[in-house]
Amino acid sequence: MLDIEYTKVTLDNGLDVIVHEDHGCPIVAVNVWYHVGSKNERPGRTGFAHLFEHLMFEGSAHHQSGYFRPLQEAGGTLNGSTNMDRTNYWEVVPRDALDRALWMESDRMGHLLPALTQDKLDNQRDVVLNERRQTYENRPYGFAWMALLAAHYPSPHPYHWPTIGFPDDIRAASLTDVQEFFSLYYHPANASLVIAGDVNTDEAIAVATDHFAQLAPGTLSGPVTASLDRMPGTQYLRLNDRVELPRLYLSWPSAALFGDHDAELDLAADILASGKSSRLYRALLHDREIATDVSVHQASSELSGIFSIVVTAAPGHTLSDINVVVADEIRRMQSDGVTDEEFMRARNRMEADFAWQCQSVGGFGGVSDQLNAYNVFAKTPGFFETDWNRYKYATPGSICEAITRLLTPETEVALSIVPQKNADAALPESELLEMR
Amino acid sequence: MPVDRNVLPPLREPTALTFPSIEREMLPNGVRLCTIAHDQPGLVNLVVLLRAGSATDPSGYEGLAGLTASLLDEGCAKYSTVDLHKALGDIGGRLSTDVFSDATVLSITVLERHLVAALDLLVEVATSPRFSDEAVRRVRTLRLSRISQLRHSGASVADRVFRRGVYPSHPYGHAPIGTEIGLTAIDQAQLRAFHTAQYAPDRWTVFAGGGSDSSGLRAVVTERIGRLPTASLASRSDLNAPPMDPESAPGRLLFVPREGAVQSEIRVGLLGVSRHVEGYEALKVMDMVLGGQFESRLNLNLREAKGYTYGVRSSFDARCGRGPFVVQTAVDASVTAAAIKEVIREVTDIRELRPVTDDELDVARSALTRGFPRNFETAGQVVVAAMRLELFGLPDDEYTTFIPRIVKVDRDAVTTAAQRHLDPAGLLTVVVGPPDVRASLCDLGFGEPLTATD
Repeated sequence: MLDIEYTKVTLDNGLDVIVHEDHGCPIVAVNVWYHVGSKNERPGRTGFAHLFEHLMFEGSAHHQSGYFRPLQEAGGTLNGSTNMDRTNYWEVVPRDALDRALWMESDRMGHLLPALTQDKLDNQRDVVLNERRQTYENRPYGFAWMALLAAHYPSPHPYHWPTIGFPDDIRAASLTDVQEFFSLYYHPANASLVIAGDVNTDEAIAVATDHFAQLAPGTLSGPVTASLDRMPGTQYLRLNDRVELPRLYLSWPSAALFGDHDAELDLAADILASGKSSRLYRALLHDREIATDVSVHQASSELSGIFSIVVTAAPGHTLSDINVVVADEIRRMQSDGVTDEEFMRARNRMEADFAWQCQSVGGFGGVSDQLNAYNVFAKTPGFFETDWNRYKYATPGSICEAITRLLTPETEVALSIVPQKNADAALPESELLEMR
Repeated sequence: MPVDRNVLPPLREPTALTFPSIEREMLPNGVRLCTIAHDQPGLVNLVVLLRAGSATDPSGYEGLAGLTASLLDEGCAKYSTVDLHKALGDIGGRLSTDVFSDATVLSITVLERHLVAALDLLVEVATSPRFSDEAVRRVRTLRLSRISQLRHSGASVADRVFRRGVYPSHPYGHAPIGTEIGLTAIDQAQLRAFHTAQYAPDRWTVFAGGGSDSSGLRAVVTERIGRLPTASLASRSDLNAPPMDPESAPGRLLFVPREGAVQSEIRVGLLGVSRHVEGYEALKVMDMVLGGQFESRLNLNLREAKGYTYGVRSSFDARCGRGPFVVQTAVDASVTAAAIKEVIREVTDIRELRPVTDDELDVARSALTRGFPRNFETAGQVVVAAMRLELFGLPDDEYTTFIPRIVKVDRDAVTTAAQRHLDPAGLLTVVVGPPDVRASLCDLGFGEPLTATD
């Protein structure tokens, strides 16, 4: 069904260069992944990969004064992001500005440090602290994901801390830390470049070679590994927050990205909560009216995943009311399985989502970003078909098996977020957390 | 050959953009159909534009357009809520109903092979909603809960107080979700009446684009949409006129205390412009320089120089009537007053003290012109662009002539736009922050801050 053509070459310094032609619009997407995320950090130095992402936009040796202007004036749009496993950067520019985009990307890949000053670090530290306030601290339910990660992955597991980091660690980051981090992780051998859009493949590879081939190769550090070591049994946790309605987060450790049952859990999430005919929407919002929203998500990362069910209680209902209904629905799905119709609908939505995602060459989740995701995590950009086949060849039986195996009380973390004045709405005997 | 690191590769001429042709047709039942020739194999995009949005809500019934739209997928003649969503799932379709101030937009994007089924479902939900007692009560309750939840988000409170401050007693003064009073007052009869009047086929404009064959697409859409019954004469009425312009209010500062907030949400702005404002292009360029992109005066100052915020931006929301101009940001609470001073200074200075420079003008024009084609990459983008032409009554060559029109904008035009549309005396400032920042707001020239409630 999916045929995303590409050409991949690896330069002598280890940089993967992947080109995909699409002549529908006179633009080209440049997308660079560095295989480094917050799991490469260590306790006491958290938030570093993300802070570093910010510094990548502050200029490099041959263009000291900021990354945005040369690309904005070329008609480009650009951004970057960091998660636990990787950091990505992209720009979408007019096709004849490809050389400018590659000039900028290669300069910061090879020559960032001479332009990096204490002033820039101080400024971006303040910006990141404000990002943390805006995105987490000052937002209703903003600490939920941090609390879940901490509970599922006891320290020193590298998924224990949030990618944004802890404020004290962010404040402690020094220029020396920045320099070390750059030499460890920001080099061609740890990076992957995709050029997608209105280009000729041979020419694009030539331009990329002109810009990147002289950059010094770096040394790859080994993969991050971790073992999970936690006490069995459901953990009940509670956060008090400035919110109107209580919200329940039921979560389980689950399949890693492309791991066993990862696709089945995506399909299970869809069957449980996608659309108004889904099982949990019907049970909680339509039939009983005890909730105001429900979402289910399989979040898979390189080392492992978390499967979560998130439900906000309707006024007058407690999270115990919610928990009973959700537990019943899960039990029913585990014992009776899912129907062929449910399975087909979930798969149809996945197919439409795949097609939707492939419409744009650039940006987060576009073709260029996806080719890099496959190249970094599956070791080949040519993974669209294999990825899709995971869904195509799943069955109602394999979905049932996945949820039976993974959704057990033994590994569950149940987090209640409740209004200060309505702490009783939490699940009973939940341990009160203090987040920072 | 290794690249010369001492010279940034030069800029090239902007690529001219030719917007795809729009095939227009009036079907016998009064539906206007626009097919856009932008082939993109895989998915087709279908959009229905109804020119009635939250500005159409009668006073005292704020939220009527929004509630009507949110009940479309809650049961129709042929399907119950659950069966309808099963049918959507069968084709992997996601139906969206979006209500804006001036329009309601129904859209569905599906794989080409499901086109006919998608059209039939779209027609079904748009023409035969049940508005059952049960669904009205259930959905109204959900929306009321949503409103009370939003009261705990500093950003939403700031938006709401700002909107009300710029538009007291004006239909742009409430969001599409409406108000508690308005939602509570709406009954089934009103929903039915609103639907009959605003969703009649002669008020539909349907847009279709994408897929591998635009003429084939047009034939199928014409056939299926053509089956809609002709609107009865009784329901025919003129299109809703854009709302009257409200009075501009004098500048003031409204403060909403929020216990325990670690940031202040700030909005600074005023009554802006309609999409038909004279000198739209110069205004667009001016906004780019002021706060419309990353490298803008506001963001370079508040974020990149001072580290007050994760980001700040300005925008003119040009609507059918005069929409708001707003600068929005969230800052560390300890720098609230300093940040407001800087925002007001930037908005004021661009008018006279520090007018736009040649360099800023070049960068802004260049970003707009060279960046323009990427707005028309996907069929979905092109269909929405065509819809905006219809909504605002703009000519078909609006996008094709955009680049030359921006190139013509000069410094004088930009400064004139700033002088005309950014009157510092009329700025409304809204702060949602911890109670202890209140005292610091007294020296900003607005006198004692007025305390607002949400």
